[in-house]
Amino acid sequence: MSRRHGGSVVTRLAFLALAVVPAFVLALLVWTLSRDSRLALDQIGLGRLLSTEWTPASSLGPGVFGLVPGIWGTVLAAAVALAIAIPASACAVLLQTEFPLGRASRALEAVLGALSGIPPIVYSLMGIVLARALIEPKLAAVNLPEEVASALPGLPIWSTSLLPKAMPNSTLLAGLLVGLLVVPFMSPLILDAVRSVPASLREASLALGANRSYTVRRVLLPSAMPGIVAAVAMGTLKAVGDVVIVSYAVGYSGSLPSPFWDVLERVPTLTSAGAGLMGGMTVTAEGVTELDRSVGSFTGLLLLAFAVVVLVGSTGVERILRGRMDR
Amino acid sequence: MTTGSARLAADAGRAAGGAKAGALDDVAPALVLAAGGLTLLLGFLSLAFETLDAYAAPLLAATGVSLLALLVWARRAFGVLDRRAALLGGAAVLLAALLTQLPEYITGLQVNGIVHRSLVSSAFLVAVATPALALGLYYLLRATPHAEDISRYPLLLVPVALLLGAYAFLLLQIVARGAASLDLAFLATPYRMLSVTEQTWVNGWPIWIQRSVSDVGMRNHIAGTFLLVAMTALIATPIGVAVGVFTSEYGPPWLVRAVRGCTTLLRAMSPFVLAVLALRLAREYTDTPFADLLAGSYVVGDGTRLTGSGSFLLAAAMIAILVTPVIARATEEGCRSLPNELREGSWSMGASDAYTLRRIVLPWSLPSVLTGVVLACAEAAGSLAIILFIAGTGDHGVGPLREVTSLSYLVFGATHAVHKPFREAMGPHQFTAALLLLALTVGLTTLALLLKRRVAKRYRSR
Repeated sequence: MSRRHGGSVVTRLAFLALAVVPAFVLALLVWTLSRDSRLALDQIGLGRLLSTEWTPASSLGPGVFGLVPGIWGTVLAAAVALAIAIPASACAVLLQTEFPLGRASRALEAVLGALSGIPPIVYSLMGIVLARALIEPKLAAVNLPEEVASALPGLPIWSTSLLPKAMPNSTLLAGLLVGLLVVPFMSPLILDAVRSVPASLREASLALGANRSYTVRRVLLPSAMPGIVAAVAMGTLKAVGDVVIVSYAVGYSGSLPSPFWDVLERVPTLTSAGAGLMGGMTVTAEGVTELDRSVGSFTGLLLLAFAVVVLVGSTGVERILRGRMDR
Repeated sequence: MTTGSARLAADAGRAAGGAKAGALDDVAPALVLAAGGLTLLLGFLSLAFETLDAYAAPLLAATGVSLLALLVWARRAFGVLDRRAALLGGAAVLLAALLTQLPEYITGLQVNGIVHRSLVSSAFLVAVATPALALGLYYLLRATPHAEDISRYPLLLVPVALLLGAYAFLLLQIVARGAASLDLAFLATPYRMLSVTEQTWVNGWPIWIQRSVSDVGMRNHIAGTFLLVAMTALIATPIGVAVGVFTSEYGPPWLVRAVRGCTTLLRAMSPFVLAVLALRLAREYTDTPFADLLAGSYVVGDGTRLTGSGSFLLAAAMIAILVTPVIARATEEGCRSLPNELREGSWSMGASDAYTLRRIVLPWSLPSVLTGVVLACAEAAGSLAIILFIAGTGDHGVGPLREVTSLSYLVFGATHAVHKPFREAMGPHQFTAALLLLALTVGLTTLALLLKRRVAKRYRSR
C-alpha cells in the first residue's frame, strides 16, 4: 500500500523516529532491569534465587530470596483466574454470536465493554466487600461456635482466634478477583476471533443440515482457534501481570503451601513479592535496601521474559494452526 | 459421535415404533425441568443463606431420581439409552449421599481452612442443575437437533448470570458505601499537611514559630488524576498515532512486524516492570540536574527545596508507554479502513504520500484515533501499579514537576499508606474515592465505546 516514489523524506523520517520509540523504550527497560539485577545475581546467586524459601529482609537478619514460592503463587492465582475467566468468556461470546437473545445479547456486549474500564484498585475494594460478605462466613468460620470448633478434628480451641484475620485473604480470593478483571478484557478479543470466521463456512455447515451446536463445535471453534489462542494468551498475561489486586489480597510474604494446590492459603505471587520488595505498601523508603531493589528488578526481568515467551509461543501456535487449516 | 447416533436412532425410533403418545408424554422431561429449576434456585440461595443447606441433599437426590426416570422414559420413547442422563442421575444421587455425610464445617485434606458445607452444597447443586435443565429442555422439545440448540441456553446462561450477578453485587456495594460517605466539601478541599515556619517580632527580637497547617480533602488528588490523564494523553497520542500510521502505511514489512511485536509486548507485559523502571529513574538521578524533572520537587516553609518521590512528568511518561499500544491499534484500524478508492484517487490526482496522509488518511481515521485516546485516558486514570512506588500524598500541590498523586493512589493509600495522619484522614473516604474513580473510568470507557459505535455506523452506511 505504500509507494516508493513521492512523499517527503522528512515526513517519513519523522514517523519512523516516533514509531521506534516503543522499541527503544523496550530496549531501555531490558538494559535497566538487567543492570539492576546484577547485584542480586552476584550476591545471592541464581541458584539461591530459584530456591524455595522466601523471607524478605527484616530486623531479624538478611533475607533469603527464593523466588519459587512467588512463581508458584503466580501459577495458582492465574490458574484460578483463568478457570473462571475462560468458561465465562466463552459462554458470553457464544451468547453474543451463535446463541443470541436479541436485545439481551447487545446489552451483554455493552455491559462487558463498560465493565472493562474498571481499574484494578476498585477490584481490590470489591475484594474487601466479597471477603466480608461471602468468604468470611463460609471459609473463615468467624462465628464458629465453641462446641463446633472443639469438635473439629485436630483443631485446638484456641486456634479459632488465629483463623479469621488471616483467612479471608487467600489465593482463592485473589484468583476470583483477577478472573473478574480478565473476563471483560478477554471477551471482546474472543468475540473478534469468532466473528472473523468467514460467514461462508458457517452458512455452508448450516446448509448441510448441521445444527448450531454442531457448527460451533466442529466448524467455528477450529477456525477461530488461532484468534482464541491469541486472546487467551493476552488474558493469561493480564492475569499474571496484575500487581494491585494480588498485593491487596495475598500480601508479600508466604511460603509454598503444604498441599501444593491449597488455594486457601496466602501464597505471594511474583508481582506482589516484587511490590513488597520495592517498598510498595507499608515499608518506608528507608527500609528498602539496594539488595531488595535488585531482587525486585530481577523479578521484573522474569515477568518480562515470561511475557515474551508467552507471546512468541502463542504466535507460533497460531501459525501452526493456520497452516493446518489451509491444507 | 454418541449424540449424533443417538439422535439418528431417536428419529428412527420415533418414526418406526410410533410413540406411546398421549398426555403422559411430557411428564418425565417436565419433571426433570422442575427439579432442575428448583435445584438451581436453591443453589443460588444457599450461597447467601446457610440455613437452606438442609434442603440441599434431598433436592439433589430428587433431581437424581428424576433424571433416572427420564432415562427410563427416553429408552421407552426413543429406544436409545441416553448416557448423559445416566451419568448425571447417578452423580446426583452419589453427591446427595456425600452431602449427608459431610459435617457442617468441613476441614481436612490438610487444607488450611474451614469450609462451610453450604458452599460445597451450592457448588454441587448448580453443577447438577444446569445440565439437568439442559437435558429436560432437550427431551421436552422432542430431542430434535433444534431442541439440542435450545437446550444449550441454560448451559450458557447460568455462568453468565453468575458472573453478572457477582459484578452487580460488588459494584452496588461500592456505590452504596461510596455514596454514603460522599461529602462535597471534602471533595473540594485540598490536602495539606505542612508545617510552616513564620517569623514574627516580639520585643524587637525575631521569633520563628512553627505552625502546622493541615487541611484534609481530596481536591489535589482529583486534580492530580486529571493532570495525569492529560499529560499521558499529550505524550502518548503523537507516539501512538505515529506507530499506527507507520505500521499501516509506511515501512518495510520486517520493520513493521518488529514494531508491532514491540507494541504488543508493551501492552501485554506486567505494569510492575514499568514501575521498577520508574522507581529507578526517580531515585538514581537525585544528584543530577534531572532530579527536578524526574522526581519532582517542592519548596518547604523555610525556602529549602526538597526532592519528592516522583514527578508527574515521569509518571505520565511511564503510563504513556503502557498506553501507546491502545492508540496505535486504534489508529491502525482507522487507517486500514480507508477505502482504497479514496487513496488511489488522491494519488492519481498527483498528490504525494505526505499530502494524502495529511489530507485524506488522518482526517478519515480521526474518530478511531479519538476512540483510542479516550480508552487510553480511561486506563491512565485507573492505573496504580506504575505510580505505586513513586507516588506521594500530594501535600504540596499539583503540577507537572510536583510529586505525583492521583485518585487511585488515594484509594490504595487510605488504608495502606506509610504516613499515618494520611491514613487516619482518608480512611473513611476510601469508598468515596473509589466511587469517583469508578465513575471516571467507566464513564470514559463508555464514551469510547459509543464513539466506536458511531464510527462503525459510518462504515456500515457506505
